[in-house]
Amino acid sequence: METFAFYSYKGGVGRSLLVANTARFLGMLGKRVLALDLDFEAPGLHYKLKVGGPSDPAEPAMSGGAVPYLVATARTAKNPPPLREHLVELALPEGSGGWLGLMPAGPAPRREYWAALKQLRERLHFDDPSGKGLAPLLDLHGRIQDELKPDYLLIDARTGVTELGGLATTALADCVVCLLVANQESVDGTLAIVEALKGSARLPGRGLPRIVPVIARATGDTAKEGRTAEGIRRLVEFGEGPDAGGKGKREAFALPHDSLLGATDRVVGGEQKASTFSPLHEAYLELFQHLFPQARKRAEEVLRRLKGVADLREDLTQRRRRRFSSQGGFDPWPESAIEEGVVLVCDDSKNSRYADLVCRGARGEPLMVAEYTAEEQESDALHCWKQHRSVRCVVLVHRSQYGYARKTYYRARGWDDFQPSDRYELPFPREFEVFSDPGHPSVGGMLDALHRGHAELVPQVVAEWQECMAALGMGMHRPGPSWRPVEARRILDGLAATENVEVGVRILQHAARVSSRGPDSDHFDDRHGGSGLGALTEGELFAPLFWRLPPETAIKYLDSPDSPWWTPCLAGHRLLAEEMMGLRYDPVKGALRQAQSFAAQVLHDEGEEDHEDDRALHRIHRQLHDSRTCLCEEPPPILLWDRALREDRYWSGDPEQIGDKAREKAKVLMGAASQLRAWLRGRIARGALNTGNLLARYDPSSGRIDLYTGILDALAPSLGLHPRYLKSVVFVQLSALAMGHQARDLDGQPGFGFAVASPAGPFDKESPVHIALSQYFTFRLIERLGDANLMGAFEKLSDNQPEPYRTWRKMRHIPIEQMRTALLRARLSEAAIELPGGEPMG
Amino acid sequence: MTIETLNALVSGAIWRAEQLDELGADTAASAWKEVSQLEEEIAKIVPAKEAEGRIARRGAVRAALKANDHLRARDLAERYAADNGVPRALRNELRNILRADADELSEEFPFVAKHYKPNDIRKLANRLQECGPFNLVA
Repeated sequence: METFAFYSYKGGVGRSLLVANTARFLGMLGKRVLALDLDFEAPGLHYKLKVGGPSDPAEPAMSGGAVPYLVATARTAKNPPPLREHLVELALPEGSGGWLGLMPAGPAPRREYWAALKQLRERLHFDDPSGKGLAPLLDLHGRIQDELKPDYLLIDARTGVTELGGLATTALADCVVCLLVANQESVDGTLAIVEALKGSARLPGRGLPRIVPVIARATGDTAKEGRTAEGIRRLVEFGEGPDAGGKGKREAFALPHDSLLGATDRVVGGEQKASTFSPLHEAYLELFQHLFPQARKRAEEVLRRLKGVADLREDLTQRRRRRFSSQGGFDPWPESAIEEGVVLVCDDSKNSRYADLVCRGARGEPLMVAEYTAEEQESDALHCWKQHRSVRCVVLVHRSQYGYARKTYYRARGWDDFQPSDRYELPFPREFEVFSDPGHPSVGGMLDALHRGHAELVPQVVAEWQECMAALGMGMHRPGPSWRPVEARRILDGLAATENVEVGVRILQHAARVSSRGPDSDHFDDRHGGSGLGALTEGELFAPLFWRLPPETAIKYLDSPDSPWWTPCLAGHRLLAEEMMGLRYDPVKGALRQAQSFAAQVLHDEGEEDHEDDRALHRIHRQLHDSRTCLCEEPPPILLWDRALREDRYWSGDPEQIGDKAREKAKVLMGAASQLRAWLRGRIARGALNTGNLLARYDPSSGRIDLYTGILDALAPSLGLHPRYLKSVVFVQLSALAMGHQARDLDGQPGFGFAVASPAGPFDKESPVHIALSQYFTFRLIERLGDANLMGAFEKLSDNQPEPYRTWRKMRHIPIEQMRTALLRARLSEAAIELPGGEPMG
Repeated sequence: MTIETLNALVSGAIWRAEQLDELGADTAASAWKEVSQLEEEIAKIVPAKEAEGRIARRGAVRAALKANDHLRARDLAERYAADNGVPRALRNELRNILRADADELSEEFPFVAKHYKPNDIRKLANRLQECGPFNLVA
């Protein structure tokens, strides 16, 4: 039996916790261990080892212990009480093969304990020269050795300078672990004790004990110089310590301050579960390797496994940071989904296997297992996990010369065999739902899932796009990913192909959100004007998607505020107005200015001087921007006039009655698909598919755009187009007209003279110049978007439209600056002007 | 001091120590120590070949044991046994007194007897008394 005394000159250094951890570690190693609490004045080892605490009503009350035993044997130990009555046997995990017993000081802090301690003090004087005071303690020590035959006796010795503390360290111990904190008081006291220990009297046959100084609650700023450091150096000279970088130098063991294990008094010694890993646990294991050389290999193995599995667990529960984009990425595994140290039984109930980590899906099925295993056992592991049908990923960790090697194997949904994967990052739970084979996740796979309605992938895909684009503006000296414009383009096209409106709105909202981040937030050094990754996202992702996604998406995005203070991202409008048409478009600023002047006027009228806050302004500003573009199921004006003229060709009747009848008939026509298509085919045959007032309508007075979805849906098959692209083209056409009217030139003037015909009468015609100009800029925008579907729809539609809608073909090669100049002139009036490359119009 | 005076003193001291012992008084040990010292003084005057001298020597050792001064008892016994002309019977008697004392500790604490010699335990206890815990006073 080897006796270890754990001593500290000052209290509160985690001595009892170290004893408890040591005991458990040795027990799990298969050793017989007895922990003995000789800290009679402040016993607590039974709390650390969680036995019979009075605060735990579930545990049977503990009555025995060292104090009651010594009281019973103070005079004579001829007929001592059974030792087992004063012990508690502690459970160890099955298969560990060890035995762990605790002899607590007694049933502290119950009254009976303090009564027993008083009795003991009266009866037992350790310094009684007859030896009768010392004999009961030595008798207990001998009896433990002979009857229990433990491999190790671990004594929690009393703090400070006491007779019992002295006896535990000088008379009983083969090794004294001296805990101290790195301050002068603690170091000086411990040094005095250690020096005295060297010269203390010992029983024959017992040599000088090993002395192992251990600094508790160590922090990074432990003194390296000065008296304290010198004291620690002397302690190490007296005792033992690990090598400090070779050359025969040694240092003291250090147990770091650990708010996790230290604060909770959690006993983790010998545990191999990743959640028990902490710097303190690591330091314990390093200390154990030194204290128990025969357990060194096992302690090393436990430490390796713990580190490997803990790294893995950390990977699984930490959100991954991208290099550039601060958002995106799948949610990590929640702690509740990860189980540690589980034996999983195969589906055939015949075999089972231990997994260090098991990650479970939403229904509790194991999706991923991780094992720390020897390299040569990999095939066995894979063979076994193959039997678990729900397991789709196996992670095998083993020690390598560079630390840890991790091998991951995946199997696609419905497959039998696991295939190795080069993917290093471990998959997150969502990936098992999204990808058939999480081992080979691809942007294509993510986009497919997005198209299936997995809106939660939007941040991931947008972030991927940002990663592809990030290198564009990076300085050459910075390491980073390569610029992958082709991949970025693929992502953009994939996002634009989204049909689902809800997903589309999410895309726009997220792109707008990441666009609003300033250059400081993403370490992105743009060489194009100093703007950040957010600006790039706004211009190159949000703006194209605004026009390329189904128009319902853009409309819903503009009408679905994230918060009361939300303002929509207008990058799409600016792409058209500023980049294409050379105008300025900032309705928010303008509306806010109007709202402020309005509010100031109201406050002035009411005689109030102080503005309470800006909420009223924001509300007015919101109202000004509500419902700018709408999907309209009503009959368009041209259809109404058509029906009215059929009703009463010469306007002989009551106009109101005629209007009402025409509206009714138009509604009937709208409800009869085949008749509507026939009517539209007639207009196609006449080349009379006007965008204004037939397919859509722009109201210059309110700035509102209505898309007649009933007409557009009926028209699309007749033109051989997909309705969404037809709607998008019409949306762009009307938006170009609207921008020509609303956006401001360099003088800050809007184009009041630039507007479509009023639907007030059947004879008001659209301005051919304005139509031609808006068509030119529509073409330019679609060309800029690079969307073949949109371009095809635009060409097809314009071919069936009146002449002004087709002139863009003649003007397409004219430089944009020339057309911008023409636009400025055309915005002043509807007067006939000669457009570049064309004949006088109007 | 004359032998008569010492005899008178030792008789009184023995009577007093026995009474205190019976009472269980704390001062019994010091009373026995006094007896042991007086017996030792008599032993210095009366040689071992005389019956009175042998009685004094046995008394000094026994009283030291009763005074819990086991180391002194052992010293005295060893010194008396080593004197010239000490009868063999006295030597055996002194040895038996010490053995009986040691047996008493061993009988009371069987596991101690198995691992340690009583005298070693007493030495340690004495050291603890003299030098304090951790030998810090030494």
